[in-house]
Order: sequence, then structure tokens, then C-alpha cells
Amino acid sequence: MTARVAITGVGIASPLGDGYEAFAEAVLSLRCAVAPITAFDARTFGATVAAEAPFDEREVARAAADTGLDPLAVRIDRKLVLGVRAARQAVESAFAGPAPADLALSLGLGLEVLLLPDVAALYDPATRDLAARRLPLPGRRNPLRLRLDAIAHAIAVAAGAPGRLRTLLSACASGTQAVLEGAAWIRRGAARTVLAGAADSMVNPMGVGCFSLLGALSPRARADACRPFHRDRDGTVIGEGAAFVMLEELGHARARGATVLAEVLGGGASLDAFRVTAPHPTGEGARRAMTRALASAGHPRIGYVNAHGTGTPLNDRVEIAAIHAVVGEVPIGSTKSQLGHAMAAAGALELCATLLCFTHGRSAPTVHLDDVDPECAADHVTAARAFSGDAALSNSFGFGGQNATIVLGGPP
Amino acid sequence: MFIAAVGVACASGVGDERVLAQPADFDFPSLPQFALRRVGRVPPFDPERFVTQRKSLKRMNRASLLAVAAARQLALPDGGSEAGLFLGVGMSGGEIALLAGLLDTSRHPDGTLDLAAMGREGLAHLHPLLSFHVLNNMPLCHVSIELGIGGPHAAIHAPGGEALQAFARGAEAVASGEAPWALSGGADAPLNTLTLALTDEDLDRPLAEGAAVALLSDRGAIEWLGLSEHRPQSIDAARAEVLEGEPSRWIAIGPALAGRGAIPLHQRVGETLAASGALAVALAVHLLRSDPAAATVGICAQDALGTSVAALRRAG
Repeated sequence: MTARVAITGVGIASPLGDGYEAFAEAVLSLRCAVAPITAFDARTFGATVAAEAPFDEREVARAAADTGLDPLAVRIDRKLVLGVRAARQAVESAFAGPAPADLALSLGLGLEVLLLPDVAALYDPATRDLAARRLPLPGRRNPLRLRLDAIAHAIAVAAGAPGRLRTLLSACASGTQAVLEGAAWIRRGAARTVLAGAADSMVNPMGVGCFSLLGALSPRARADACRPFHRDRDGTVIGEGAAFVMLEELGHARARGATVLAEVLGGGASLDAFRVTAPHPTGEGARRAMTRALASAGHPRIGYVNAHGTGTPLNDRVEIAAIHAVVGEVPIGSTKSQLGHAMAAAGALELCATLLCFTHGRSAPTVHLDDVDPECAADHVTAARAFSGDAALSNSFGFGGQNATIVLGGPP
Repeated sequence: MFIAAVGVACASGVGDERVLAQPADFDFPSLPQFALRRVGRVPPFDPERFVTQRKSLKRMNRASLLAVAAARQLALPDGGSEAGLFLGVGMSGGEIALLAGLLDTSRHPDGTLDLAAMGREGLAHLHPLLSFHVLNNMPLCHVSIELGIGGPHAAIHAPGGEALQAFARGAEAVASGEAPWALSGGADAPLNTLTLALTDEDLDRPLAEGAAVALLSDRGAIEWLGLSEHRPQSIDAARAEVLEGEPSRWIAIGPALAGRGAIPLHQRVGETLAASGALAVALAVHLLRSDPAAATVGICAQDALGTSVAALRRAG
């Protein structure tokens, strides 16, 4: 018999606030974090709004001092600060004292952020290449970009997680996949406690610029720029954040008297094997991920689906059809309408929104949905609604066709 | 768990594991701004041989192309839509050439960035599909698309001693029934100036591009015995987690195993970062198939975070 996996702690650094209770209050009261970008001057960019998490210079200085990484790099690549903040919270919420000595870390991260000031300083227009590897600026220790292994190591150290470490780069599916991988370690007996989640931020000139260029971002500079399933939806909004859950073998959690918030009942993953630029037009990969997830969870009665729901025309239509084909008619919400798209961290943040079904008895909504696209017709949760069911499901679909679905149940 | 076949694309050539019998040719790069003086490049090959549609090459970065070339060496069983795919992936594959147009229009003469100009004009000079060249997971996605792999997956960032994780994960997927068979491997293409700027300092071995992908299934000629945890520990402690007694041959990722006659992987294929675990497995398969005295092979990976050992042996 395989071990059961409990969730016994949560840490969140998000545009809707820090900590699970602040996040819960904001999600359930229909707040939206989308606002003009403050991280850099984006006035000439194709998209000028984002969902930004609280971020201050003291955290940058502290993280740089703790890790030995360069302050400018830590300021531009915001996922390190957000990841450290959320990971520490999750450990503190699960354990009264220090983390277990064998705490493992299953981590999803986003793309390295190019430090454009460094690249510009090193660029030689005559050769159209870097003129040197060393910056002419004194004191810069980590030019061009922060290495992801350095970020992963910094989060592991900050959280006190010296056990096994796995870093997953599955684009927008990373957060969900990190939790599924951590849960699999516990089921197999390879770990007893796993800190699992993700951190990412694309709120920087290259992030906003590239996604705008792809046509993935809404050009509207309004709080309701990301409106999944809406008739007039025209793209997503860049978000950022980090979220971690403490996964624990159920017997271990009970033995130490921990509060069990929910149980990871199962999960599934699939690859579209179609195109890197677009999801499969019939949602074939999404269907397989959900089908595998439900089978692994023992086909519980699903009372809520937290959709990937990006607000892009194609994704939303395909996902609704896939949900209906696999799960049937079920209440659906997209937290990206409030949080924007936090990319690699999206799945971890949305898992926390899904967790509200069990900790607060409420299903997280889609906001700004005042005119549903007939092709996205469904039982949309537009105001926080009482949850009814045995389990809830959360979807994450990544650029390139990597899909992951997780199924949560209430505390056993 | 067994390794049925391996495909390789590295400085020694493109083919199955036998290309590793040839010593790699490390050339001298014309990159005077870097300290590195030798690099390992994959010998020229026709990329169109390995893709189903020529236009997909436009969306592939170098690591993706090498991963597809390696995977294409394998004869796959049926059932790809349920099969697993687990790859070690490296740093973003962005080339400075992709940014040149943006920098030409968004940079003051003193070398500082003009953000307003970048938004107004510079971004228009970027290729619209740039994101698909820089996302770290693209090698996995392209292998999936080209070979029709649709099952469980993971793009694992393990550039150092943990580069063997993709094999452990693939073996678990098959052993648990999560997938009927799986591809495990790794790919990296660090020979661009953006990555060289981060990696060449103090590197006393040739940096190299490469990829290897193996077919894992419940039958095959080479048995995968497992991978130890990667943590601060002695080599013998790590070895004891997966193998009783000393292996016939050692392969070293990272520092050579003094006194144990290990083959330093970087001497064969260069320092291939996220591809090193996969190329070490390919070399192990080559030794087990070509050297009668090699009944078991241990792969020792060491870095600042710890030591781990994987072991393989010739089946029955």
C-alpha cells in the first residue's frame, strides 16, 4: 500500500498578498491585483499592466547578502526574493520549530531573466556580440543573468531543506508538476516531508516584451485585462509570485499532531506532442492529463475545477471542452483573472486557490466574467461559492505542450 | 529496469553509443573575449534528416536540435502517446544574435539601456518566436512533438552532479506502470556567448554541446541498477546504495576518481553540463557492450552539493 500525502502548511508571496489567510481573503472577496507596472517604466511597451507582488529593497539587500548574489540581479530577477519568502512561510506554517533534517525540496522555476543593463554594457555594435565577459562596472559579481541552480540552492538554504532537491522547468506547468513530483516521493517512501512549489516572475522588460510580441498579452491597460472565458477576452496579463505547500506522509503528520489542510489524491501529466506554439486544437493533451489524474485519484466526485484559464482566445475554449469531456458539468474558476499569469508559479498559486475548497469551504471565482463566450459556456464560479464535492482539480498547461493536473481532497 | 538503446549527438559524432569510441575533436574557438580556448562542437550534420517538417527547425534552438537528433537514433516501440519523457535541460538557449536588433535600437552610445526606446522600437526587432528559442523546456517539447511522446514528463534542470536524475525518474515511471516505456536523457548547448560568459571562468576543461537519449523499458541488454541520493557523502557510501562491491569500470562526472582508474567524462565529450549524465550513461552502455571485462559500470557525479553514484550492468 502506498503512503498517503497530506498538505500541512502553505506559504504564499503573491500579488494578492503574503500568507495564506491574506491570499484567501483576497481571492474570496473578488479582488484583482492587475495594475500599472511599477517594476520598470513600461509606458512604451505593448502591455503596461501586470499583477505585481509586494517587493522592497530591504528584501533585495537581505537576499543578496544571504546568497552572495548580486543585488542588481536579485532586484531584476524577482523570483528569488519571492521564492525565499514563500518557502520560509510554508515551513513556519507547518512546523512550530525548525524544519525536519531530511526536508526535501521539489521546485518549479521559470526562465532565467536576462539582465539587460549588463548585456547592453557588454554589447559591441560593431561585432553585434559581447565585447567581453567582464563588466566595466566594478562590484558586479553575477553578470548577465542569475543561474537557476543558484536560485534553487538559495531557496533550499533559506527554507532549511537539505534533503533531495529537484528543479523542474516545465514552463507554466512547473508548479503543479513540482507538487506532483514531491507527492510521488512520499508515496514511494523516498521522503517523509517535501516542500513543494514554484517561484517565477516575468515582470521585467524582456518578459513583458517577449510575451507581448507573441500576442499572448492583452493590450488593454485595465484591471480587467485578463478575463478568462469572456466573449471579448484578448490575452492574458503577466503576473508573478511564489507558493509552496508542505507535503507530508499522512501518518507522520498525524503522529506529530499537525493540522492536515487537505490530501493530494492524485495527479496526471501529459504532453500535447503537437506544436510548441499552440495547444492541441481539441485539447487532446489536456484531456489525457485530467483522465490520468482522475484515475490515479480513484475517480472521486469532483466539485470544482481551477482552470488554467489564461484569458487567451484559444486556450480557454479548448480547456472548457476538455473539462466537459473528462469531468462533465462542474463549477469552474480561473484565478488568473485576479492574479494574472505567474508562469512557472501559476500552478502552485492556483493549487492554493483550489485548497480554499477544503480550508474555507468555498470555490475560488473567475472575476470580470460579465459576458461569457458561448464557446466557453460552463458553470462558471463568478462569486465565491460554497464548495460541494469530494475533490477538486487544478489544471496547468505549459508552453510547448507540457500539461499537469492535480486532484485534492479534504482532510481524511 | 533496462536500457534498450541509446542515441547520441556530441563532439564525437551523431549515432548510437558507438560514436563514443571515437575521441572527440576539441577545436579552438575564435572568441578572444573568453578565457576558454577549447570547445566541443557536434560535427556538421544535416538537421533536416531528423525532423518531420523543415519549418520546425525555425523554432528549434541548438539544444532542441541535438536532443531530437539523439532521440531519432532510437527505434521506438508502439504506444508513444502513453510513453514517458524525462530530460535534463540546461540554461536558456538564447543567442546574442537574437537580441542584436533590439540592442542596436535600444542602447545609448555609452552602453546604457534606453528602456523607452526598447518598448517603442527595439522589441519590434526581435523575432516573434524568440520565446520558443529561450524557454528551457523546449528540447523536451520538440522531442515529444517529433517522436509523438505523450505520457508523463519532466524537464529537470540539473547542470551539475544531479544530471542523472532524468534516468532515475524514467526508471521509476516504467517500474511503477506510470508509462509502458520511457525516454530519458539530457541536452545542452552552452557554446553561445551569453552562456559562455557565465561558465567559462576557471573552467579548465573544454566546454561542449551534446545530447543523449536512452530508451528505458522492461527488457533490454543493459540493466539500470539505480541512482543513489546526491548528498555530501563518500563515494563508497553512495555506491553501496545501488551496487554491492566495486564496479568493473568507473566514469566520473566532475572531479576524477583518484586511484580508481575512472574515465573522466569530460576527456571524452567535454563538459556538457545538463547533458553530462545522459552522455555518461551512453558511455557506460558503450563500455558494457564493447568491453568483455566490463560487467558493471559505476557513474560517479560530484559537485559542491554532494556525491551520487549510478550503476549499470550487462544483463544476463
